Formats: sequence, structure tokens, C-alpha cells
Amino acid sequence: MSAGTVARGLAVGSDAEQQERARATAARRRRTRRLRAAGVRAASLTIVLGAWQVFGGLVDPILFATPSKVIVAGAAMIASGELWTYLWPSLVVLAIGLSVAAAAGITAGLLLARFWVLDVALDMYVTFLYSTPTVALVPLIVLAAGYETTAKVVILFLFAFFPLVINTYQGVKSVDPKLLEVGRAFRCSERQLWVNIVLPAALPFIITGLRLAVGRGLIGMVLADLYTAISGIGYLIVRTASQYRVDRMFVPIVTLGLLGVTLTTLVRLLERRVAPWVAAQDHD
Amino acid sequence: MPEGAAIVIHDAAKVFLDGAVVAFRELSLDVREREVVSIVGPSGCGKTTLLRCIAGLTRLSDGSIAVGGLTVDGPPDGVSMVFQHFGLLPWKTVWDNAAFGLAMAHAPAQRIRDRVGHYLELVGLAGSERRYPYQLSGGMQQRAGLVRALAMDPQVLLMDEPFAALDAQTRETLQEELLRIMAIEGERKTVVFVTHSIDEAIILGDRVVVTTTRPARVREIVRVPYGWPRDTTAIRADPRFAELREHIWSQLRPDAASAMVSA
Repeated sequence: MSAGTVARGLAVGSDAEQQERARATAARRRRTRRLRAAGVRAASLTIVLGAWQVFGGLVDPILFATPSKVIVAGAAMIASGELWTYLWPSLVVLAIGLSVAAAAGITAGLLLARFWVLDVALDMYVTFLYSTPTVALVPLIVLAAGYETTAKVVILFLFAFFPLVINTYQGVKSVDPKLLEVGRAFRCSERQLWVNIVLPAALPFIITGLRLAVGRGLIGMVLADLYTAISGIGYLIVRTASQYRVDRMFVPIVTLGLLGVTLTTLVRLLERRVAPWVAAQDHD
Repeated sequence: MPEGAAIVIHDAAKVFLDGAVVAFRELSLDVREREVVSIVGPSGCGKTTLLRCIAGLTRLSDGSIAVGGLTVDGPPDGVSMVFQHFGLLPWKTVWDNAAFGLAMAHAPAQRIRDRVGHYLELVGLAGSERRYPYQLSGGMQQRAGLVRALAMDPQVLLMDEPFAALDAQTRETLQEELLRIMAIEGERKTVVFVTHSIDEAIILGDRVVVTTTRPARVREIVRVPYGWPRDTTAIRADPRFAELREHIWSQLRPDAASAMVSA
């Protein structure tokens, strides 16, 4: 081994050490920032809930409830199984509707982006239906599909479908042309180009579509419960409100909020897992 | 095929926007086998377009290009490209990026392992195989880009300002590494190296093609008086290097000045 290679080896070694140290410092800084953010959030939560507790107590209990009362009511509704009984059917509708919307929406988005004829023939309908407030279609759906689970799934599907189509389409259309050229330079077949470049590049867009679909899907779920056969979590809200039990009414509302946060977080975790390079770019 | 000619460019022209923009015109150039030809010219003068034409990524408007005796019509066999923007796929590891070309060509797994492993070792990327491009420095990324091209065992290596996006020191390190690889028996390729750095053109090339501003034509072809293997330090210290540099700069200067005026 010549002196040159030894020097090179040493240089690479210390480079690696330096990189390691830089990474450790960055990790420590991130951790500190995260802890501080958590602290600020906790303080904010304490202040807002505290204010709600204090000022909520001044309002007529028939019209408003305090957080402590909501927590008590929630514990009771969970213990009796009441919450779960009404939440479950809505969750089933949500799961089916979102799954079907994801499968159909992503497929449709890919087909529209791939085939020019489909794009030109169908994009006006996509734009039209996406721009139409989906609520306006509910009476039509009820006429066609009745009041029960099928109708609810269809409503949820319509809420969740379009963001997925549009984002998938956008994802394919915004693939970096430089990477496509790399694919062509290395003589990719069309199939290879899609598998290795187009789909991975579109993945972050598709996941964003999924996140939007989850949010809209939750709206669709409650809306379906309120505008078709009144059942599920929507029924729980309507019933508790009509009984002037505002503390109990807040329980399904908070549950829906928590459900939304949980699902969105899950989608974000999924993104970090299947598209780690996007999260890495965000950090810089 | 004419003896020793790897690339024959004959009266090539490329125009864009229905002739409003002429990238190059009446451009003829022969590149011999195992020869490194640098193309240097004012920026935005169509050098990259010429390279893309040789790579079969875009069509000529007129004239012809033949690689290995076959007229280019789509990306030809035995030609690999190294990109200024590295062109690594962010979702693939260093290994999978380096193996990309071979995998797309359905090369046998054993051959992929051998060749990719060999070149990763050669450029000092052994041990980083499972990293992702975003975890690497620019220099390391371009090394992976180089391995991806070399692993294909191409007859012709097209390099489009491959080190332009790197800092000065990394650029020199990579120039030396390329020289080191090209000096190894059996690793030598026909190389067309596009650059806007006169130094780089001289250090790497057997010949330097100096082009005019758009539309690009060959203004002069300068023979570089250095053989192989090459030592960059010795070349930089050589008085002929300074003379060559001055000469090429004098060829480029009127164009560079007019490019600045029109810009």
C-alpha cells in the first residue's frame, strides 16, 4: 500500500467521523426543538382548556359544557359501551369508503395521466364533479341507493375520491423530466420507466391525496350519518343534542377530532416509511 | 466502420422552435476509440444539446451521428451518460442507483454484483451501498452516477459538465479519480466530456474541441500534449499548460464577451 492510499484512507476515516459528529449534533438539536415544541403545546393546551373550564362554567349548562364535565361524560359513555356501539358502524363505512376511493382514485389518476385520450375526454367531468359541492348530490344518492350503509359508503366515496384522482394525476405529471431522461438514457422500457421512476416520484403526491381524502372522508362520514338514515356517530350527536346533554354531545365530537388527528398522523408515518427522501428534504 | 473512429459526427445541426434558435450547425467531429475529447465553449452554446444528440435523447435536425458505426436513432447500445445534475433516483439506495443501468438491461445478478461492487470500490463508495442519495455529499452522489455509467461497461462515456455542480476541491478530486480510472488498463473508454472549464478540458482531454457561441461550430481542435497516466499537479505546473490555457481562452474570449453583451 502506498503512502497515497494510506493518506486517502485516513482522510476518509476522519470524514466519516466528522459526518457522524455532525449527525449527532443535528439529532440533538432536533430533539431539543421537539421538546420545546411539546412544552409550548402543553402550555397552550393548559391555558385554552383552563379558560374553557372557567368561562364555560359561566354559561347555562343546557347550552354549553366544561371540559371536566365532558371528560366525565366521556368516561361514562366509554364504560357503558355506548360510544363504541355508535362509532363502530360509522368506522365500517369510513373504512370501506376510503379503501374503495383509494383504489379507484389512484387507478383513475394513473390512467388519466398515462392516456391522453382519457385525459382529454374525462378531465372536464373530474373538474366539474370536484367543483360541485358533494353535499348537493346526497338527495340523488339517497334516491338511487337508499338510506342504509350502501348510500353512506357512496357518499363517503364521493368525498374521498376526487382529491386522490387529482393528486395522483398531478404526481405523475410533475415527475422531474431530468429523471425521466435518465431512465431513457439507460434504455428503460415503458414498464421499467413507470415502476422505477414515475410511480416512486408520484408517491408523495398520492400520499398527500390520501391525507386530503381522510379529512374529506370524515366529513362525508358524519354527513352521511346526518343526511341519510340517522345512525352511527352522527346519530349520537343529534340525540344527545336533542336531550340538551351538551356534555355528552361533545364526546362524539371530540372523538371525531381525535380520529382525524390519528388517521392523519398514520398517513404521515406511512409517508415517512415509504418515501423517506421527502421527509429528509423537509428537514433541510 | 472507419479504423478507430468511435463517434462520427457529420454536418450535424440542431434547431429549436422551428428554427428560431440554432443550437449548433455544420458541426463535424470524429472521436477515436479510447480517446478523451473535451468540448469547451461559452455557456449555453449547445454543447449539452450535442451530447444529448449523441446519447440519442433528442434528434438532429440535419446531418448524422454514428456511434460504433451505427447511425444514432434513439439511445444507442454501449453508450452511458453522466449528468450534471447527477440524475440519481432519490428512492433508490446507492447500490440500486449504481446497478440501475445493468438492472434495466436485465443483466444477470452475478454480473451486476461483480461490476457494481468493483466500481463502488474503485471510487471509494464501498460501505455506503445502503445509503440514499440525500444522505451523501454532492461528490459522493456524482461518484455513484459515475459508477452507474461505468458498470454498464460502455464503449462510449458521455459526460455532461459532470463536476460543474461541485465545489472546487471536490471537482479536482473527482477529476483525479476519473484520470486514475481511465489510466487503468481495460478501464479506458471513449469519452466525450463537456465542460465550461478550460482547465478541466485540458487536464482530462486528449484533444480539446473549442466551440463558438450559438450556433455552435468547431472553432478549433487543440491537441493536448500529455499522455497517460496523468498527474494533474505536474500538468498544472507545466508551462505548456498555461500556454494552452491562454490560447484556448483567446479563442473563446470574443464569444464570451459578445455573449455577455447580448445577455
